[in-house]
Amino acid sequence: MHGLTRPLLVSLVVLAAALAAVPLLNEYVLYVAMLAALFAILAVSFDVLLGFTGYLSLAHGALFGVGAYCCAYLTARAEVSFWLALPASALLTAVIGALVAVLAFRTRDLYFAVLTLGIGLVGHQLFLVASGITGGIGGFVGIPSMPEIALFGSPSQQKLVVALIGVWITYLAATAFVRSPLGVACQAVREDHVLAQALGIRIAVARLSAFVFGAFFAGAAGALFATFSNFVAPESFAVLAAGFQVVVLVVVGGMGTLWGPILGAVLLTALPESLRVASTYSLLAYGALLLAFIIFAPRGIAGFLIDGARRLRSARAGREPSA
Amino acid sequence: MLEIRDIDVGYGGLRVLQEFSIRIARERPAAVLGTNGAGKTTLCRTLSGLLPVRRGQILFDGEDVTALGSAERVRRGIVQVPEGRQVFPEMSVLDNLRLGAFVHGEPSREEIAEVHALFPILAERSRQNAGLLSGGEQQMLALGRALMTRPRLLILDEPSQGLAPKAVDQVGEAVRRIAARGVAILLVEQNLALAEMVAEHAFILETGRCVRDGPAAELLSGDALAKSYLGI
Repeated sequence: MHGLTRPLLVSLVVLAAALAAVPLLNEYVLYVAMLAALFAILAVSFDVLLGFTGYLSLAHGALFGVGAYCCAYLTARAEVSFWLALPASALLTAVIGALVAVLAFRTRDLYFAVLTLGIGLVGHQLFLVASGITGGIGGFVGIPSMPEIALFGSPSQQKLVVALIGVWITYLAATAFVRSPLGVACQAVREDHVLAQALGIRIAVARLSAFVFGAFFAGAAGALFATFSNFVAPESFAVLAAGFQVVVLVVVGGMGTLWGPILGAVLLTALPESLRVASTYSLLAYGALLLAFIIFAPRGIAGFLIDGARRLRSARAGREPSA
Repeated sequence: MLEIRDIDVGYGGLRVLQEFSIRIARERPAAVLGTNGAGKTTLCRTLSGLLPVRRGQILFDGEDVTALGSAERVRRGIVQVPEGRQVFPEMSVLDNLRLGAFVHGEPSREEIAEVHALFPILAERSRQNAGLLSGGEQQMLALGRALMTRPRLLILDEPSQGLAPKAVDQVGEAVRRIAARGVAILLVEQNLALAEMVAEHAFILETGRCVRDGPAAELLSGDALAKSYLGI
């Protein structure tokens, strides 16, 4: 009834097209595309919480950092294989996410946003202070690269292929989650938490599972980020860096659709990079875009596309009877 | 079936229900009638476990459910259709129905088909967002969703509110069909028309107390006293 066949097929086609394009890209584009894919993983997982459950968390960037440092520590210090470190980092981030969620879900709405802002700030400070594990302000140097997968081409191509497969897995997992009874319960919490309670939905369980789901994939994205960059530093995981960026990606892409945030991540990573204004004006551009979208297009790029497709369809339907 | 013994419920310093007691039998659909501010919605929310009881007891099938949370009460079959024909507007009609079955897991095809048979409009509009339905249709959806919960006692908080007379008739007809399936009904209303259609027993609620009760036919039809309580 709620078949996953269609999203599975459509996403496979998109993935295949993206993979087919990989050999055509130069080193720089490969790098930008890899970053976009990592942010797509973050954005899709974040949309489960923001778009489907209705909670604005500013701690997602810090969770991304937890995954990155965890993977860095496991592969560089404990010399664990990356393929073991990746799920371990995601799991640990999920556990920490659960602790954060238990604390943060004592509040709602604006208070939730402010509380998670505080948690994001604390997380960032901890990355700076715990220099024994994280390398402090100097960053974590010498994170081993992912083991070679010669089948996927050059090292840069391998990174992008793995990141793209990561996006695909995240998208499918998120689709399955939001369509499951638990995911439908999350949407009920978003719409009306009193009514949801009256139906016997344990809203604490529903929203906790959405938060933990997001944390798991944020941790996985962080682990990929660490191994791809070979170096991580606290400023990547500041509230105003990843924490804020992921909000913008989801809002601009389209909250409550899982493919919208992927579009948002691709456009907002590719555009500034290709215009070469990334470092200087990126935060300004992000703020301005967020304002523009919230005021003029609260449903994001996905909203435009859905409306466009509907108009096209009804125009075609209008023509048919006369033909 | 349901027995409420001397309950006190309030918000802060305000006591809304005072020493309130009623008994309801499965085979006799009941109505609690009262004007605005009499405590109707407070009663419904208390029965669903959304408001704590300060004093007194709520017995369901002889068991004390006073201390149980809302999820556990729903699991036992105490189900409310909240006031204002509440649906989840941004979710599809089908997902709204699925939510009704939430405490029992994923609903079977048969369960959904049964509700669709009772309310064909919900089958037609299955994929649409619930917010696009008309008022009467939304009330049908709220009833259908409540049925998915496998209720043994269905509490209806002012289902006629804001509905056209024809839609009120449809709601009354639907509630009768639900009652015929062996579900106990507690209708909480100020609209006498719906109560007359549905209820066999009626209670008059006035400023938090049950001031009168009796067979609905006696209490409601042409009884000037009852009508004066309701200010009509």
